[in-house]
Amino acid sequence: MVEIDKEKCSGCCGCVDHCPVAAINVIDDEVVVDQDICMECLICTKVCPLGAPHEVAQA
Amino acid sequence: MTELYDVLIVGAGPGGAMAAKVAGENGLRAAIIERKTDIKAIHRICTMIINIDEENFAEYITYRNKRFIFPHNGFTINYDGPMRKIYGFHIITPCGNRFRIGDAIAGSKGEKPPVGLMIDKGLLNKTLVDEARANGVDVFTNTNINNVRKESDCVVITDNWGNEYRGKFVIAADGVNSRLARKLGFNKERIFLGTYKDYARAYEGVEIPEAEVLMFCMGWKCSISLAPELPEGHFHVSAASYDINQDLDAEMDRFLSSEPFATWFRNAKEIGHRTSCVSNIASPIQVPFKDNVLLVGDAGWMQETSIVGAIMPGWSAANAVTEALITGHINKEGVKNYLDWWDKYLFQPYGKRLASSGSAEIRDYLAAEDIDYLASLVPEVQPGTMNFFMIMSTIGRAFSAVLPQIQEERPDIMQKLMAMRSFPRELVLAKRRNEGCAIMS
Ligand SMILES: Cc1cc2nc3c(=O)[nH]c(=O)nc-3n(C[C@H](O)[C@H](O)[C@H](O)COP(=O)(O)OP(=O)(O)OC[C@H]3O[C@@H](n4cnc5c(N)ncnc54)[C@H](O)[C@@H]3O)c2cc1C
Ligand code: SF4
Ligand code: SF4
Repeated sequence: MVEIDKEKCSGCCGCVDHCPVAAINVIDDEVVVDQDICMECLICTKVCPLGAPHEVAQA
Repeated sequence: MTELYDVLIVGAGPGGAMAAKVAGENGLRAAIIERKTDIKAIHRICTMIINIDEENFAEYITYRNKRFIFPHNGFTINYDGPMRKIYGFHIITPCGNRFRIGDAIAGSKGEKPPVGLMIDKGLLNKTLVDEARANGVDVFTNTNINNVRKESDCVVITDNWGNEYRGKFVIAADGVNSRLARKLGFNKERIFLGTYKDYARAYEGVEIPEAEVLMFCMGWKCSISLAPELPEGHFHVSAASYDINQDLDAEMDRFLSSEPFATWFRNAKEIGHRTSCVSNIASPIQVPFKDNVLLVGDAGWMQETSIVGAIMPGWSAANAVTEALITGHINKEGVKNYLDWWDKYLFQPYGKRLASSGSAEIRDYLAAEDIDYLASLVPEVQPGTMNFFMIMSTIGRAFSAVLPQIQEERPDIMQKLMAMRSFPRELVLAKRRNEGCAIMS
């Protein structure tokens, strides 16, 4: 699954805009992935200028 | 059934915030919807300079008595916040040579007027939204608009919580990568010009000579820019590329540890939060209207229509919607004045040119010492401007004048310049597609 590293994320919303399925939202000024919608295409990990989104092992 | 608004505005950047203010003043039943919770916080990278006292989209903006005045269009906006004077744009070569557009030395002595004012864009946006709210405009923050559809009597937009909002018109001011433009199918007709990825670090304690300008550093693997920030001694460094796999961090570090730049940063400390952006650059839209949705600012442009380049269409669009409601023409005909305005002041003079942009990258042709040499040929300071199109034509004019000298002294560089110029645009765009991430439809 894909998560966003809060420490690295600037909040620029570039990944929000690029996610093909609108799985990323800004909630209370925090950029978060909705795991129910995410299809793990990893586009967000490629476009983020700060390397904040990353793949993590399923809990 | 939820309330039917006269107009829904998506995005509280300069374009949307201005549209909301005008809608409020005109007495429309309006709402502005923004995904951020804190409207004042700017996370997307922006240097926040407003060009003043020079031509800009046929306007001649000036700042007096705590207001930015737009005399040609005939409106003003309030801004009572921090400011810094900017005198132009300098290209800095790898060895530190400068090609100067604007005289920062004369400027800081008060001998030349500024061509730009750096402001707090977040404060500007918030001031506009507060004025809108005071005139009865509903403000919904923490709300991401994810979809849009046309019904017979209105436009319906939906947020990430599943709520629906209904408006006779929608003004889409959701910036570059506009989801509304995408959902409405605007992008099918646009030319993809590349994915632009950029990030900036802020530093304090920086010592840069002739610093009251925007500095564009050439000769690196990515585009490196330096710009002052509002507090004295604060600067940001940014690194940008059209190649999404480019290691921006590594190149910024290399820049900061190379002379003369290392000396400028020897006592510097990184502060604050990093800012960034990633944008799919597509050609400007000629007719920013579909299904009663009007696009303003970056949503209908490429990126960087600029703060005032978003404010002016925001103003024009909200006025056109007002006229449409008064005349009862809830359609394209009703908002004709906005579409004419966009065509006359943005699309015809600039949009067309940008749509055919896309040239080979200088870094693919010229070595660091070639760039040092070229800048040394034009030591004279060029007239100051912050107008992007004027900057481009100033560079073009200055270097055309020295082409015979280059041919004479450095035929090898001349050959590289010619090869760069004749590189086919289709191949440039193919490279940009390859190195980018074209999520457009
Ligand atoms: C590197 C860089 C430097 C720049 N420097 C300058 C400069 O010095 N001077 C200058 O004038 N301009 C500069 N610009 C350009 C400037 O930032 C933009 O042109 C300007 O902010 C555009 O305003 P806008 O209102 O169209 O969009 P934005 O300012 O991008 O505002 C869009 C708003 O919509 C919100 N939003 C987006 N999608 C949604 C959604 N789905 N739902 C709800 N809300 C949404 C966003 O959160 C944002 O608040 C720069 C741009 C870049 C990339
Ligand atoms: S693109 Fe990166 S920095 Fe920007 S909001 Fe997404 S995760 Fe954060
Ligand atoms: S992995 Fe793909 S689907 Fe999941 S959040 Fe990132 S861009 Fe969206």
